[in-house]
Amino acid sequence: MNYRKPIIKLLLLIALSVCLAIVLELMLCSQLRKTRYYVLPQSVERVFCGHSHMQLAVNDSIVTGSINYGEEGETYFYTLQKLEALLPANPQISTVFLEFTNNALSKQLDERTWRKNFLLSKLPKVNPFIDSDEFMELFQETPGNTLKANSSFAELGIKFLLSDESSFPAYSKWYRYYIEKKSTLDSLITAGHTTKEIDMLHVPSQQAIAYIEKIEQLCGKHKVKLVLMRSPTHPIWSYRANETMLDSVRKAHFEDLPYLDLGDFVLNNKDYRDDSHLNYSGATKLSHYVDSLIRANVY
Amino acid sequence: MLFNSLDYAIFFTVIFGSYWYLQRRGIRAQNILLLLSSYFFYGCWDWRFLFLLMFSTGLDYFTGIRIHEAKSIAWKKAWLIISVGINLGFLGFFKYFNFFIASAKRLLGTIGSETEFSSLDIILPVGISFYTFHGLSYVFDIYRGKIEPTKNVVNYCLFVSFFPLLVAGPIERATHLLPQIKAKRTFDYSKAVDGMRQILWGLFKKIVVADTCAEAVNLIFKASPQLEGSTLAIGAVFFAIQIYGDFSGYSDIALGSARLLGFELLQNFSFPYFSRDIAEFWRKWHISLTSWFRDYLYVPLGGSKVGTLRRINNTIIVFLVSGFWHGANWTFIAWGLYNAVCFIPLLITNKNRLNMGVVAEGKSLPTLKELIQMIATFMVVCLGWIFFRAGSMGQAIQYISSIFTLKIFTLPDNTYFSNVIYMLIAIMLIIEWNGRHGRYALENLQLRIKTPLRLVLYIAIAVSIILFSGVEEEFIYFQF
Repeated sequence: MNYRKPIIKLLLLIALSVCLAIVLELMLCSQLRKTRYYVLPQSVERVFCGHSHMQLAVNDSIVTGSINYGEEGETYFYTLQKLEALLPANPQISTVFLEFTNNALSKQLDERTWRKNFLLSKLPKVNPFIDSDEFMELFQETPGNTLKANSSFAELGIKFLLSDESSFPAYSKWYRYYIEKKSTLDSLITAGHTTKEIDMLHVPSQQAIAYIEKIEQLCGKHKVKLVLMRSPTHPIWSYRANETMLDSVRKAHFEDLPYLDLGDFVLNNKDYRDDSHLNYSGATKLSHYVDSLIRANVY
Repeated sequence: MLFNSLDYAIFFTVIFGSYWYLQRRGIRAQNILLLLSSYFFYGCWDWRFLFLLMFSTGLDYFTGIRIHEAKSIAWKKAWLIISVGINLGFLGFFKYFNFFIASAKRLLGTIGSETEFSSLDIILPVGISFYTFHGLSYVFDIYRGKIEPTKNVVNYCLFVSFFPLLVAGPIERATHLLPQIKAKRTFDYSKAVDGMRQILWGLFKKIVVADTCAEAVNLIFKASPQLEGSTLAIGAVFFAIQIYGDFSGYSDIALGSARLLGFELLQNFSFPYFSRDIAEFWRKWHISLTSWFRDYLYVPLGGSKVGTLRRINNTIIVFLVSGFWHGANWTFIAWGLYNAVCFIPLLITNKNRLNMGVVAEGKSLPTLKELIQMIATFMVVCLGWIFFRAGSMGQAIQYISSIFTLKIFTLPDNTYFSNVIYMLIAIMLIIEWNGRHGRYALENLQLRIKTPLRLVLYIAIAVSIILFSGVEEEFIYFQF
């Protein structure tokens, strides 16, 4: 029948276009894997990474020779990609401080790797470093959004290559230390903050464990020291209820790694933005302390 | 179900195949299929408003017959008023209720009077402005004796809710679409290819150009109080491109989809940014709406057959109503008034019908005069778009006043722009310029470009659509 002809031609056009688009994207990934797009100043010898706790806790203008690439909602899946970009390009990096905290190791947060809003904002920034297994992992969870995120990456990558910018992390906005002036902890307490029971709180995330192990291997390959770090959280934070789980995971899998546990670092309520994040005042105090450890060659 | 989504591609492919398979069963079967799929399409947006659509359809069907069968003019008018009153009543309620409440409260507040009016949490039914005007054109045409009402319920329902035009036009006329619905349709391969070509071009304008501009526009308008005039000026230009790419792209997809099903819908855009004056612009932008207002508002008010003062008055009314049709905000009314003010000098000097043909017809480049005219008209239009895009009158005024400072001569802030945006706009304008003699830019491409190069162009467009499809922005005109 005649009406099938345009459908067939259209399908052929789509198939050919998809193949070409895939080839172009692979070429884009290849180009954006080049180390020159991820070079940091020579003075940067330490990288802090993790999710929003790290992002708000460490002021990298205070901590000697450091850069804070913590990002809200970031799981270890995305941290691994960032480090795969940074470590080969910056042989001067000697230490990576990796967020190791109660919620990051809980299975409850696994879906932040593939939940739509996180996937679409984070995957395009690190897409060149996703390998095929990792791509399939995302694709199996959410095929439509994974493809959309790949398209977003293509657009971002093309814009970057046609711009005058030389740093892909800067262009694609890998988040840095975030200055937060607010303090709402006292009002939370006054309002009667109660510790809530969180689903899967005590269930360790196999995904998180697997990706920390990959990060450990990556650091080992580049002869970089990996330090697990827990930034301060207030005792009323609901996730503190899984201390036992956190400790057992660390001992079972990462006992060989140095652990800078600042979870109970002494701070006033006014140094917290809320029950689990620091504000500028708290970050300043913490950063000075971390800096003193670095200067004393503890890390 | 957005036109630029995989869902629509699957939906349309299924409908297309089923529709032409049913050709052997006759047009009734085809029309029933299209009607059911149109209701499904609309239901995907919000199934609750299907009932409103059906009610509006039923009302106009019923009143159309009553108008035709009425023995006296008085009864014809009465039925017409019933139809118009109820249709506009629903439109007014869903679209303008909160606007009127807020405006009344503000007005009473200025004279020191407190009110207890409260706004309602009303969801605007998708496409209500469009299908309401569809139905109204039907009853108006029956009242004027231009057409007879159709007694075929399926045909009439399909006329109102035909899915390619249901949510954002073009606003069809019963005299144009109903005969096509009643007529037998046979598959035409060249028309089908033409339809696919128009869809491809529409997707390019929407996904690649408009959505890319949208990112920059959103950031600029959000940060407008802190930005320099030059950046804001470019932001206004980008919005002009965005709204054109978005809306004309949507129309292209609608027209292309309809053509694949054997229907020819009204052309909605005719390369408006190549206009040499504002009158030409308004003959080429959202043609189905402007012609609707001309035929059902301007002409009944007297049209061009009245004195100059009356004509000016009528022109202002039409532009104000057109602005108000777009949205329940003073910015749209201001936009309408601005365009009226730009149009009136041409009306007074009888120069509103100077530029009727295609610019630089038969030539590859415009003359210097034509180029200056096009750029000047474009700038005038861009200024008006600021009202359209701004969230409030305050923001619009702040935006415009920030442009007209000496800071317009400073270098724009390049963090908001990328070379890619400029490139895409240039590509679109070049292709549109080369295709300006047709109904859409790629029409009759087979007559202008040899097959291998044409194929390369199609593939390049398709690849760019795939690569730029990461961000899904809703069509601007869906909010109307």
